Amino acid sequence: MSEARTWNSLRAVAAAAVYGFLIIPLLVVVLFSFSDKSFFTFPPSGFSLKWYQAAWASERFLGPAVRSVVLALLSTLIAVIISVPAALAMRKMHPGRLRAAIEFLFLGPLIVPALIVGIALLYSFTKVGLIDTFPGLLAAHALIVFPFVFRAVLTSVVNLQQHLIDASAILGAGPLYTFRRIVLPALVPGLASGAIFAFIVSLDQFTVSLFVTQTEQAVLPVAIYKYLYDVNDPVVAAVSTVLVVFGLAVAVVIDRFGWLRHLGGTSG
Amino acid sequence: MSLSAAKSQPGSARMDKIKVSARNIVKRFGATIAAADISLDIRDGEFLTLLGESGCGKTTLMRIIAGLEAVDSGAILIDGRDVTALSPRERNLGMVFQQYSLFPHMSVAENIAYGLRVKHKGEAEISKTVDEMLELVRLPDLRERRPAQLSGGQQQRIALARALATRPSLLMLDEPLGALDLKLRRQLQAELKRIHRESGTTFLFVTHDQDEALFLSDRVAVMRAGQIEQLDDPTRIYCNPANRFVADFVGDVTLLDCEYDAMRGGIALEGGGFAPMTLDVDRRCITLVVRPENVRLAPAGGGEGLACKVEDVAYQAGTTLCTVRLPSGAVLKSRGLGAPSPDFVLGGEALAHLDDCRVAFIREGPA
Repeated sequence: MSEARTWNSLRAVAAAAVYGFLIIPLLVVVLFSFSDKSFFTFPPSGFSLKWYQAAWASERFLGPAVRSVVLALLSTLIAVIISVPAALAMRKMHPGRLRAAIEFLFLGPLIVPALIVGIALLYSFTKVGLIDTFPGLLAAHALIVFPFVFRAVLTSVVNLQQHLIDASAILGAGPLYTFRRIVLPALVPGLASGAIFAFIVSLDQFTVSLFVTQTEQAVLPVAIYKYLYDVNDPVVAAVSTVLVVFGLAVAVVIDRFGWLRHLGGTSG
Repeated sequence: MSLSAAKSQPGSARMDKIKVSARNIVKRFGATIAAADISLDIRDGEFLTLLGESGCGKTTLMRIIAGLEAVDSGAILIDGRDVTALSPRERNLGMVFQQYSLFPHMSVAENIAYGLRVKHKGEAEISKTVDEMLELVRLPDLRERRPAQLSGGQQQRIALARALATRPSLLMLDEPLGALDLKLRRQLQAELKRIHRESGTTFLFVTHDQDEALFLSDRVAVMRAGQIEQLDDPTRIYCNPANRFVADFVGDVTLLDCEYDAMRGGIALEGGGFAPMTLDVDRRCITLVVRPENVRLAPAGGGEGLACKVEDVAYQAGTTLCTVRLPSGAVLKSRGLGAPSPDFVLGGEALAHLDDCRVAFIREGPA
């Protein structure tokens, strides 16, 4: 056997190990959710959908799930609305310390651990009565997802070509028309990838959600956690499986449109 | 747009009208002066080129006329109207950029229609104009293509169509052929000349390529350091340069400092040598502008002429360029038709004749 073939086999084994490491936990959850026993067995025994029925019937997940989706959509929307003008303003700034400082500040929520953000929000929200309210939750999530959208949009904004904007102006277009017809279409890839990322981050956000809610405004991750705290049966596995399928569908969409490369996010 | 309606003819009544006027334009970028009190009138229907090296202020002047750059002082008039305070969109101009600047997410037809949609033209009129413009740039089959599917030359021609679709008062072209290879450049230069003729629009062109400027333009403004050194038609720019800079910048040239001797009827070169010629000058110290086509070489040993030594013989597709050195050290170039003559060999002697009828001169130094 030649050396190259040895290396190729080694590479294949390494890749398989990584994929296995990533996928096996998911697989375990999926298998567990279809189990007919209330405890985990391997190999799985039987097949039933009763845990899915139980999850639906318990009414502990549907409300939080809907809340989570609405929250993710709204917080992403807010982040988008703030990110576009912020990124466009950054573009006009001269590169320098001030710009770097502002950029760093905008990426702050990404750098500060969620635990710290949660504690900070807990203190400040308590004072203004936002704890366990939807507006409070929304504000917290918008804060958390903003850097993801901002980074992706900034990438598109940096690649924005001034001569296209100049050409539009000389052809008689006003700033708003140019924004709508030229600037916004150029930002679509960044906006789309940033928004999808933000949506997932919000949906998945546990720590901060736990700090700023109590019982009224529970979101899905918190509801799952609280359920697990009480009972450990495959109901949670069923809910998780639904989430996995949902996440995969989103990933396929991102990949289809070729938006993955915009997720990197650099200011060039 | 009716293409036959307005054809520009040099010297026509239309050309006497001033289309765009730049008055005493001053513009600084920090310590750099991009425009030092420039005044320039662009005539209706003409093809005027701003020629100069990068950093001479030619692009800045164009951007000021476009309204993309503000002036420190001075005024811009378009069709007699002061537009200095107006934004680019209020000036009714067209512009083709050096970078490919078609809107990437729109088809060719949508790109050309852009300016018309902004002006709320009717669909029927838009469609008709798009067809006419595609016809004008001779790319009628590309209507539904995306910019990414076009070659560089095609993109620039569509950009031209887009800029002309709104019937601008002035079409500005900022080195539009700069990114293209030489052969395509030559083709597009001829196209550009035709489109200028057929559209009847006033063209303001910016380039650093002197051949391009002389070939295309009705008039050329040679610029240096934020000033116009000479504004003239291409023949005069080439044959009667206003100063040493223009003479040196445009074309292949040797500037010979010499003394004109009216008594003997010729010029005496510094470092020896005498060439007979009759000049209508009242000074002794002059600088001769000698172009390769003004220098005729003869075999050494017979008659008058400047003795020189052959340093290089190069055959250039149809003509031969000989480089010779005079005793003073000055280098002359001589261009002759056809293949190299066996009379002139590397390192050999020759006699150079200056054909005075075509040698221009500039007056510098003490009288």
